[in-house]
Amino acid sequence: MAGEVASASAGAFDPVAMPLFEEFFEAQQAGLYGALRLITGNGHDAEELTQESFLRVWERWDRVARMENPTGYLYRTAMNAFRMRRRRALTAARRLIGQRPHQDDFAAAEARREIDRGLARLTPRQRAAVVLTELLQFSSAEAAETLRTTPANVRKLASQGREILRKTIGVDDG
Amino acid sequence: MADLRRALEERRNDFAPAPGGYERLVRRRERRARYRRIEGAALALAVLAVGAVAVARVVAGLGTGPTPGNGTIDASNVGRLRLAWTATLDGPRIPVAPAVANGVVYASSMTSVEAFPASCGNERTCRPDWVGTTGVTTSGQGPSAPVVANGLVFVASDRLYAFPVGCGTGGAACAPLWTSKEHGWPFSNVAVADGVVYVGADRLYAFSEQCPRSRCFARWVSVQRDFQPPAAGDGLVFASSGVVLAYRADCAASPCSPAWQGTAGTLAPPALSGSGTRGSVLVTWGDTLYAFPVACRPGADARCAPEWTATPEPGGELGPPIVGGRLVYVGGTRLYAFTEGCASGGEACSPTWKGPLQSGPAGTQSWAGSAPAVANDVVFASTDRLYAFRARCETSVCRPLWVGPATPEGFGLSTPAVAGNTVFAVSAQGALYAYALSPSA
Repeated sequence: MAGEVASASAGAFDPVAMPLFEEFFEAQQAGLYGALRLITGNGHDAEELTQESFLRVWERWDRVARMENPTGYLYRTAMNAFRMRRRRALTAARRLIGQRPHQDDFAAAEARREIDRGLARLTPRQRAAVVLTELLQFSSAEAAETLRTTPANVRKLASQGREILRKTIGVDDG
Repeated sequence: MADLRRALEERRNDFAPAPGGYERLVRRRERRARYRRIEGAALALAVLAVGAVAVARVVAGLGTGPTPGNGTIDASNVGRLRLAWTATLDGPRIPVAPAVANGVVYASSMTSVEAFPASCGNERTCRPDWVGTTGVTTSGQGPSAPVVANGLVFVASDRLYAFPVGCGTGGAACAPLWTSKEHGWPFSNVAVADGVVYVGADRLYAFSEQCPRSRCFARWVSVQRDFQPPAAGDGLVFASSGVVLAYRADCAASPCSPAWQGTAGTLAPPALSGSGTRGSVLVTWGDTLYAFPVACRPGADARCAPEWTATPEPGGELGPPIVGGRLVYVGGTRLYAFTEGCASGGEACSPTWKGPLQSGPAGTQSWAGSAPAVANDVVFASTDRLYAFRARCETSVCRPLWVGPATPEGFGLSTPAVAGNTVFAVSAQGALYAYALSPSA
């Protein structure tokens, strides 16, 4: 890290000009938490994933701050964390009961509103695809990068999700 | 519901994250850093070794750095600070602030106080003019932050030491002019005012600055025991023995009884704001900053309640406060500025502004454990690096004007000392850093 001393002295790295992580956190926290709340279906997971995602971004902030789209990196990190968390939960559940669990967190959550009931009928990946493309207005390519899949698969997942929502609660995509 | 996006947006807006998210994130980061330190003890050793090599590389490249000279650091030029020189002190320790006077910077190491020429710009590594050896405290700590007054340098460890400022050249060993007769207890920071040197130990001791003997007896000793560092001014000396205590500097009795005592204590040096009877003595304890009135008229229980308090980071840990230009500065995971006398009757104050202290990789110190320093409308705070903010920041969240490089070992820096065009700070790894203004482009 003494290299930092040298590079800072030479002016190659200017932390003063760099956006502040705290400002980024304040600007993005509510949006990410809300999106994760819709995807996971419960506040505890959404809070955990929000914190974990921001922490990972913070640890790389000197690089992330200079990216063209730090927010995209944040959501990609959050989706990675969501996928890993779900994978660990599924593995643990299989070990416990010897079979794939039937219900996810969202289905188990109390669905007080129509949109919640609709989202509860989607698979987690369909929910993520719908939230990314409809709520956050990601392109298929951006959502595919975030979800580590292909744009065609994102379109398929989002289409399936919208169809289920349309049949369940009558919303359409405008 | 005809529009899916609007339905999702409306539902998302129902979900607000719990307040205090950033503070939780900071704590999570610190926890993770601790876990990583525990898991990677061996790795940490390797990193330190790499850090030492890197320091050597930095030191090797210092000859081309800025040279301390004329000019004064202010808000308009602080962005031009660059590392000018370093010096190696003897051993890692809790870093204490250096002191600068008349072109000499004094820094306490593990077993000594060392005097360096402040303008060491052409040297790769600065060597001391003289070294004054001291004892260590019973808890194994080195001497306190040096204080320079009237031609003497005072430090305290196992006893109080007074060295003459011009003690030698070329790395000469310096003998103290006098030391305190009292010894044995871990002695705290030193405060000097009106020819009297105050130091806390098992009790608060007051010595004559120009002691005629080589072993000096205290002029007066306090009644109370177990003292934390004092501050002195306006005819009073403040110390803490679980609670803040105010003694009259001209105490005629020995042992001396306090004029008043506060309702909270401190483990860190107090700060004084204002002057005369309108002043305040400020201390931090845990997550709270307390401001007690200097001219307190205690009630029947002899206790003095704070005029105002502030808890900017509930559950956090604030460093020692400092006062400058009618603002009170205190650091935690951020730097906070409060207006002097911002409330009365014990009410809570909100900060005038706050400045984020961002840090580097996990495992490095990202909170301000040392007091900030103020000079020429610039306030400096230290974590594992130095930050400079405009002292009178006009926005509620203040961006730093300058951020220094991280210390190679990632440990914290001391309270900085500012003199002319140079800022000095000591690291926990035992290095003295001098950052000087580089020539304008």
